[in-house]
Amino acid sequence: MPFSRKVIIAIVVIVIAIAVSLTVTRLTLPQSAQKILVVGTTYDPKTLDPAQAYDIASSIVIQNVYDTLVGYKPGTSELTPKLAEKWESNENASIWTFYLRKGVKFHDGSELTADIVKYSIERAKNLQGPPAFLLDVIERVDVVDKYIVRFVLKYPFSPFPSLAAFTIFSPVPLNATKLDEKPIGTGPFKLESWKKGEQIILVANKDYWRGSPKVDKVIIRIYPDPATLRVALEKGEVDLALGIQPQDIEALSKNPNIKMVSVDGLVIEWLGMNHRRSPFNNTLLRKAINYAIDYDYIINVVLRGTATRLYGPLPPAVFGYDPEVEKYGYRYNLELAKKLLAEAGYPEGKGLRELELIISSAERAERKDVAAVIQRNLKEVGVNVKIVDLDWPTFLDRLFNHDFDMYMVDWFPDYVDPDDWIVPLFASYGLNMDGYNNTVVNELALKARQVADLNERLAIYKQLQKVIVDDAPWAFLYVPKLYVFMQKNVEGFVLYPVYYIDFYPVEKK
Amino acid sequence: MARNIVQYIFYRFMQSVLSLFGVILIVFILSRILPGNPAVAILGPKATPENIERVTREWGLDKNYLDQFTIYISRLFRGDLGDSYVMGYSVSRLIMERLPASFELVITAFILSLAIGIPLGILAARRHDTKLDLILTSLAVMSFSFPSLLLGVLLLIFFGVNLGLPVGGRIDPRYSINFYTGFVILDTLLNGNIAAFFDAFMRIIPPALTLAIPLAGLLLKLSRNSILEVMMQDFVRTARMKRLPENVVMYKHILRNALLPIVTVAGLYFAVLVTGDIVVETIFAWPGLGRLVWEAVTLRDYMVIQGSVLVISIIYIAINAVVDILYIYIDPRIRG
Repeated sequence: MPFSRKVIIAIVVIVIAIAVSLTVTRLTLPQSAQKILVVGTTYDPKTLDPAQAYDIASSIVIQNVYDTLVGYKPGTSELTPKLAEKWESNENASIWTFYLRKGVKFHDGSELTADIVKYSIERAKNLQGPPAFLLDVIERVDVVDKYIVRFVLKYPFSPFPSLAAFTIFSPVPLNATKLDEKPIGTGPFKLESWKKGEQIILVANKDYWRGSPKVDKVIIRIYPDPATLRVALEKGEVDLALGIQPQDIEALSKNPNIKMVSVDGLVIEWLGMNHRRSPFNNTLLRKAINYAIDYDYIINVVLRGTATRLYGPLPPAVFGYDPEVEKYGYRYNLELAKKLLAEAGYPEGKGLRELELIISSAERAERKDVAAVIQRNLKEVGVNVKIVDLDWPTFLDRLFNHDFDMYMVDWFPDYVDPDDWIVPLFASYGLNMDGYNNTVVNELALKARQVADLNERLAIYKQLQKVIVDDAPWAFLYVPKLYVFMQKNVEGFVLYPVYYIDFYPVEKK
Repeated sequence: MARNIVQYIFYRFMQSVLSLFGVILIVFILSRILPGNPAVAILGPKATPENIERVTREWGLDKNYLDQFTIYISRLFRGDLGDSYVMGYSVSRLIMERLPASFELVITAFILSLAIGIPLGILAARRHDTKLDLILTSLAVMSFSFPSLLLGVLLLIFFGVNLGLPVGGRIDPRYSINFYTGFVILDTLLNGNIAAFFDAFMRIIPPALTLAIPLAGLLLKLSRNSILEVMMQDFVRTARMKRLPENVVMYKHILRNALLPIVTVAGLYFAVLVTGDIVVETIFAWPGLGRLVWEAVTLRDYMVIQGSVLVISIIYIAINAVVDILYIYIDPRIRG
């Protein structure tokens, strides 16, 4: 055995090396007097320029480096002053005047003025990034005085203040370059570094106009696999986790070291149908499909209670939502579904071809399971469905070319106003993916955005919800809840129904 | 003789250029055959038709494929890989940001697999047809037929949860390290931060093992068989008859001759590893090349797809050339 001694020595050396490294890593965690918040997320930002950003990962950073003109009240989607102290409109909501807060400084020391707001909006319009279409409503921006800026719109648009809470309304300093990588905002944090695919480091802006944040540093780490993010959270390597999957929520909520906050979100998920084609040009058939789906099973079993039911075009968390919709909306009713299907001319599904349901489960893994339940439910009434799972660009391509029978997708508003659901999704002059066209809806939707009076608007949206549900353009499915998990010593974090992740009030005890 | 080598190198070089051109052409065609429009993928579901049209024009995607290809090739000749549609940066910069992480992981995995596979292969060959040999070769077969997704998750849980070691990413973000080489393990040492070094070292082990285990199994099996084959040859018997010490026979005579197929396979495998492993990089939050390519494909970022595949092919071809040179060094017969 000429080897044995060497082998034994090698093993001993390896064991000692592992033992030493184990103790060293355990003993000497990075020591620092600084308060550091480590945030784990699953996506890498694409850009840090507010004129270009139109994805959640980018927005999370931008929201903490910049401020928008209008903010949200903590934990809600109600509007509150931020860089603008107040705002007002003319009678038909086509001219909006914003009064800026005085003495707000950018990270480079320059002061926020009306000129800068005008410059920032015009810059974003010229750059024509992905979110620039949100500025299409603006005809021009006028500087009234050093701290008063006026937006003259192309048409009356009463949701304008809620639009001004979107990141593209973040003022940027004059003549700044490379904002996509080196953002300069007025916000509570400054960017220290960004290693793509790895991490972003933000440091506190001690001179922030609302006072210094409560942590010195925020490190945003990217864990592309949500399962790894969960391990990192449970090990305490991450203080706050964004992007935990629904299937992990139950287990994590039982972990005594971890706390959870959740809120009913504004995302809606639905089953869309192609009205341009037979058989979906038949309202009775669409209603039959609405009655054939076992919503409770989807929400309680497949989604394990991580979503609530969507009964109509609007989620409950947006103002203008009419609770009456829960009474007249569709519920699972197999007999009624069969009856309506027969009335539609397809008794027990006879005469129906196989229908294709396109989905993209890459972004939301649970969508595949929900689609399978719908397939089974529809089979029970005699409708055969084939599920086709596509990658996101292919899915979008087919959606926009109207090359589908049915699809499942979700929608997140850019501004929290019923207008951002009704117009793009149901008006024939919106995105109109389904080919739904009801002149009453078209006219009411246009009227609602031109009325400044809130009560009058609420009445219009109440009527719109009723008309749309009656037409059954989709099968309305559910509203996913939003979840954030954090260590017990993290305090002050407030979750908003909008994708607004605010590190400013967060403390580490 | 010298002329032959020059001719040989020239021939190999022309061959490489041709295969590179083939790669460029195939990737260009493949990325355009994929359904889905990059403008739509990037602008999202709310893109207006005017916006899609404007972006398509801006990126030159409204031109016909031949024109697009000519423009791409002429930029390549100027050393320009183009810009990413999504990020706006040059593709070469995006790749350079990812390469150190990829290389660090691959080199570690490679060293680990050599350190595990070859000694065990020698051991199995020496004890051939014993129980130990049977166990080792069965383990080897298992290791390269085990799915890397499962192996990765198992190692993540074993190291991270059971052993309580740091996992995920390259280093704990709370360490502030100055980067010199881009290799975290070396940079932590250059910073003189021992704790950070151990943190980084512990973090690279599970992903490196996930990559190393299948290769180690392959090397074990290969070196065992190759050594056994050489052991049966006459010159080994002669060496033994000369009563040379067993270690000399093993390392000077047997191993040297058995090494050739091992170097071939290890070299090819190394080149494959460099292309990046999406599964491992995703599970262990490793910011390498594989994820860059994957993200580019999911967003139809043609320039990044084309650029990364081109760079990967160049690396692949370069490693193959190195392997060929190693042959000459290892096997004097080729020199003759």
